[in-house]
Amino acid sequence: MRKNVMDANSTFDSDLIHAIFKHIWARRFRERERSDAIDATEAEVALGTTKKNRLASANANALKLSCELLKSFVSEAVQRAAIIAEAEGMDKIEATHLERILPQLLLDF
Amino acid sequence: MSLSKIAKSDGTVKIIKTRRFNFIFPRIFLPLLSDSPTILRRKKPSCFAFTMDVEGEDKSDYLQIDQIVEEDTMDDLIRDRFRLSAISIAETEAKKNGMEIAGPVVACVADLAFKYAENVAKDLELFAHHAGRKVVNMDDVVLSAHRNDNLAASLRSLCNDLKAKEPQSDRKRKKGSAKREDKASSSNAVRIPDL
Repeated sequence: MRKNVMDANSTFDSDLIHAIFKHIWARRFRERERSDAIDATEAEVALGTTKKNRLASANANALKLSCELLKSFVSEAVQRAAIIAEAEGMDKIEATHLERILPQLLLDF
Repeated sequence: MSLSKIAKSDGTVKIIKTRRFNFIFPRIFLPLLSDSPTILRRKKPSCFAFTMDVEGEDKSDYLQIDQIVEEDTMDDLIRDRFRLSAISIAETEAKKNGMEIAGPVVACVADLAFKYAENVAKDLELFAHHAGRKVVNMDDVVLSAHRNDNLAASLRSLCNDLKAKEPQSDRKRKKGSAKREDKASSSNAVRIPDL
């Protein structure tokens, strides 16, 4: 475990991201099932306009890309905060630095 | 009758039973409402306290509750594992810039990243569904990063690298390039006897 922390290029585990996505997709699938049971109007069913409720799954490469995406989110947050901290002449990133980069970070991601 | 969760801001989860509007209305009101059919049909649920037992469907509700409790523990597990990874990434990144990062800050970044991951999952599902697919593609991921041009460009280049590495990209190649491939290989076959 320590070795991973010391790795120069650590990134998110593909299986972990897969587990997260599956968890969220399963939750949304169940919510859609419940709301479909309540909402489906007669007209929609008759016209066949209701879309089938499918459970999403992920491509292996898509997972790798998402790992990179999430990693770049964390990296960007830390790097931008580090720039602010450096401009202030401090050597420790504090909450105030994070606060200042947060709006632009959230707009960018 | 359905069970829904409300996540409160202090992190606890409140489970409530929600009922369809129709069920709770006493029959005397129905004639009054009959001229305004939209109100009847609107699915606004009203929430009752959890202990209310109205239709005796308790057993299935308890099964659902068990599911929800199991889901919560799974949720916590996933969150913790994600937090650990995020913390290690944040710390290595801070070291790269030669700075230290405060504990609360790194925890905050990890939680933010988890929320972002949830949003990404939702977006990916929506994009794939919009494209009529069931499986999320690399294109969906590249699309979900459309807000920042640099980010999109770097993801797209990664995407191309991954595609190039794929050994079975023959299926995805267009007919034109496949023909060019065949021509190239056939021309090689012709050249060798000449040598």
